[in-house]
Amino acid sequence: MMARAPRNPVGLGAEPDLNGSVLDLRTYNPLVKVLGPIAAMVVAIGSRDLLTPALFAALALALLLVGGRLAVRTLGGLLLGVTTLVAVMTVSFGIWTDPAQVDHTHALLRLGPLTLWSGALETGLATGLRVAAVVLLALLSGLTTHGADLVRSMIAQLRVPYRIGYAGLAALRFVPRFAQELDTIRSAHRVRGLSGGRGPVAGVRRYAGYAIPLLAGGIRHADRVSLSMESRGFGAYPSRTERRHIPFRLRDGVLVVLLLAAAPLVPLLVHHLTGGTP
Amino acid sequence: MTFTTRFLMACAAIGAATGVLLIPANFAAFSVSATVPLAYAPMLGLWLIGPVVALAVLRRPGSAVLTMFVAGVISTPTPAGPSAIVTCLMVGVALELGFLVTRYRIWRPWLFQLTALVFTALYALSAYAAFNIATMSVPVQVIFFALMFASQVAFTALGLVVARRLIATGVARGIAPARRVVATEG
Amino acid sequence: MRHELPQHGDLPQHGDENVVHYGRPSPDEVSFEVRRGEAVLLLGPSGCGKSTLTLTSNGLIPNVVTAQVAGTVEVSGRSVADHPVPTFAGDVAMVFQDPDAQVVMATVLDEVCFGPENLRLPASEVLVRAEEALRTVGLWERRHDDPSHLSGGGRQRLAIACALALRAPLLVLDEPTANLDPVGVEEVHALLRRIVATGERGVLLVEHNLDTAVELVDRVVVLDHNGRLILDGPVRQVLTEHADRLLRLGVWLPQAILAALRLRQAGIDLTPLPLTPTELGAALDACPVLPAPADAADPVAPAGEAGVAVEVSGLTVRRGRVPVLHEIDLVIPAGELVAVVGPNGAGKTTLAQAIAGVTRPPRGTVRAAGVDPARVDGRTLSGLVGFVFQNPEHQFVATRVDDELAHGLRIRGVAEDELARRVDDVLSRFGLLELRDRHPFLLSGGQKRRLSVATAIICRPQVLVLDEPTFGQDRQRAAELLTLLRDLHRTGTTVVVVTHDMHLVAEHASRVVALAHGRVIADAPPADLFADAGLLARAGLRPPPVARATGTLVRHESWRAVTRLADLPTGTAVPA
Repeated sequence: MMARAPRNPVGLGAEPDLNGSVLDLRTYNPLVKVLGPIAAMVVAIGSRDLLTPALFAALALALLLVGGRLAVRTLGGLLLGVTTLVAVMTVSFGIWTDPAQVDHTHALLRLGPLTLWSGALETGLATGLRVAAVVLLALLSGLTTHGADLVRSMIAQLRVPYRIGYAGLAALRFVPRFAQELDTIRSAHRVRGLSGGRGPVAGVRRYAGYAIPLLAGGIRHADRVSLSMESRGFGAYPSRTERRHIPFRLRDGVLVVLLLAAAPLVPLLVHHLTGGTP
Repeated sequence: MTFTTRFLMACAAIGAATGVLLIPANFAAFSVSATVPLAYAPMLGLWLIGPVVALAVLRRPGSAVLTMFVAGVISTPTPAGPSAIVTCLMVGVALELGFLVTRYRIWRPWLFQLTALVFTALYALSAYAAFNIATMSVPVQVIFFALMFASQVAFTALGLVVARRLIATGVARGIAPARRVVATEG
Repeated sequence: MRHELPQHGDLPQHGDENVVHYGRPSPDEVSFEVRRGEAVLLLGPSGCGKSTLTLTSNGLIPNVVTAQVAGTVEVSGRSVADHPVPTFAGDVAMVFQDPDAQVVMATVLDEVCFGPENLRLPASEVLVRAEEALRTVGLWERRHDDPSHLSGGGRQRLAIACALALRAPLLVLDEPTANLDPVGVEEVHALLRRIVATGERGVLLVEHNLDTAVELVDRVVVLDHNGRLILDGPVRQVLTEHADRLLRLGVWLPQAILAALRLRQAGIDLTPLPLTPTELGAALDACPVLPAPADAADPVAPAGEAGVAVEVSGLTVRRGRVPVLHEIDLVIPAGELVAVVGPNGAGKTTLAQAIAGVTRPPRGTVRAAGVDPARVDGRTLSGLVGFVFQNPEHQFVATRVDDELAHGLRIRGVAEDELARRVDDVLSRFGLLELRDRHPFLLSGGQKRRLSVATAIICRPQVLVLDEPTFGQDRQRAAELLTLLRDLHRTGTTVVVVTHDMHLVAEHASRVVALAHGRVIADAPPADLFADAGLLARAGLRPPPVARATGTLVRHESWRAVTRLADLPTGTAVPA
């Protein structure tokens, strides 16, 4: 949704201080932020009206505004991105809606054989709001969590074996390396005269060609890293000392209850507000 | 089931490389899907390459789940969607199913395709709800699902080709079990 | 104490916690041990199994890397084959060649804590050990940094800190400086010297940067081609008394010894043989009379007719907003073998890539082989200017060695019979004929390197650009490659090579271009560069060992210009 890939593979540059204010989302357990909103996402996806996804989106946005501690630029990008997303999807999905289902509504615009019905636009807006709600709920963790902390809490609270978790952590270190490798391989293949051809098929073939040296080099690198890890006692015992503890505190319990409760309560509220007529 | 560190890290490498290859594709997919939802369907196969390559190259139980776990960890905290870890794990688990049922003894291309079909069906259901496909006209719906299916077949085959060429480089030696018959060619 | 001994390869055994025994079975019946406080250098010809031996120290072979091994190896009374590798982390600490492949965590401190945490030490103890290790290697102030922001030498010092934090009685280092620039090599060797001096650990070192390494070890153990142990003794005794035998065996020796052996042929007997540049200098100064240095015709003088192969004018390259190269002006006459040197991050690779058009330079700033790389298409350009990447695998596109070579000709529409002839010719010239149906990725490191050079020259470019072609390769492989480059150069190809290898520069280059902070700070013959200590320091370089020896001469001023083995006199007796 953002225009470019983030330079840093994780949401936060460094692990946040977990002992901060209750109003700071960054201090909450990563699992609560990742898994808590899933029920709300499912309800939002399943809705067909405008108000339900809008309320979910508003709830997520409010949480982010209050507790996200976002930089001004991030916040600006977020608001602009979400607004654009909803606007674009309203129009584009409006065009794709089957006219037979909405031709009883107002015709807003006629372009030759195409007619833009107000009902179609409404369907598009609902789709846009649903996607926006899901994205914002996902960003509750995305903008406030460090990837390493998520892995740590998976080890601590979900009992994921630490060796698997640390494979994930080590992989975070691979990403910038592989991105750089891919750049080099791309220019190396161009030098060998492999740049020929346009279009998606040539593109896929080109990428498949890059994949071989990238993956072969990557697996070999990973192999060397694994030798270094084992030499340093990785896997010697069923557990290891963790200097950074990701706690599950009262605040996490409150947040998870709030998020889970929102899933049934928002549709109930909508039902109440609209008197059952969406 | 204990995984060797070498195997875990090989999955990590394939997962990370999948992430690197997918990041630009993901952004393209997202902007395309917002404007032309039909174009989202052919992108589906992109999710399959990583786990297909991992299973076909490493040939051990858990290859797909671990690879997609790592791919998920890498993309989770990016604005591209933290729920990715759930999606990724879903893809990984779905792709293990066919091999689990056959007790990791068959590594034929048809099994890869059949297993991928399970995932395609799951994905189609969620896309059906998210994009409210029901409101679209029937021909559009048919094209949407046809594109998804074609994408699955094409990208699974591509994954197998990549896997075969990767095996030829010898990097999986000592990580994958020694094999008598190489049967990844489709 | 006797152990059941292996039949393949040499394996270490820990008799007690302070001594490590390495041995082979009868009939060879040889063994050696590393004692606490002792530093042992392991030498041997390429492929004799030095690295293999280091990997057996904690059971990585055979438990993780499969190898055919018979016999038992014991560490602290436990057989390495019967216990998982991680359980030996407190007994044997390993440092590997590639510093990047030893980083798991996101900060320097977390990285050092990784090992002790795996051993389930209490967090407070982990931090105590981490601080001590980081202070020892001089990285405590940078503990919150991302390891990838450290220099190559810094990252390798970090790897050593990780090993120290485990407090194992034995430290095993496998080519720890092979991937480093000269400054990094110096940092790591200085650190190792301090570690050895504490006397707390035994050190087993495999190293090809011998000129400083010999100063920090006590003993040398030499393996032959079959991995049999043939010599074991104090470093000076083994290297000086058996120098000729080691040379015949293909073991790389310190430059000071090579120089002395060469001088011996010229009738100058430096006995005892000097081990280090300082000793060589002192020995030379002790000679009352020396013949004039060799006036041998420069073996790398420009070949072919004069002309300009590469011309760079006002080249500025930015990466993002950061300028990597500033206003570079450079003329490379045809037929030169030019070395581009400088510290990491000086812009060497960027310059090389701009010359070869790998990354397009701004229009009008570069002319190479008569064309502007910014104005011609890639296919035309790669026929005129060849480029060899640091990692050969990056440029492989085929699944067979011969297809790899044919690829470049095929896309240029060369007829099949002509193509087959040229491929065969290059295969035999590069010693790859027997490997023609192999997958390029399955070749050895040296073979891959030769193949990558072969793919670049089969289209007969006028200019060949190589990015650190000797990176991570041992001496024999590097020498092999240099012979190839020299042959190409003799036949008129202009060669531009980016390198950290001062030996390569001194012995083979006809010109040196030194870069620092994206600017050319020197453009001169190697001898002139090595004579200018201030310039060398600014370029992050160290003079080659021979130049270090002759630079301090008091008695023989004319010898101060001697910077390489080829300058030393041979075969002529000392004039009366």
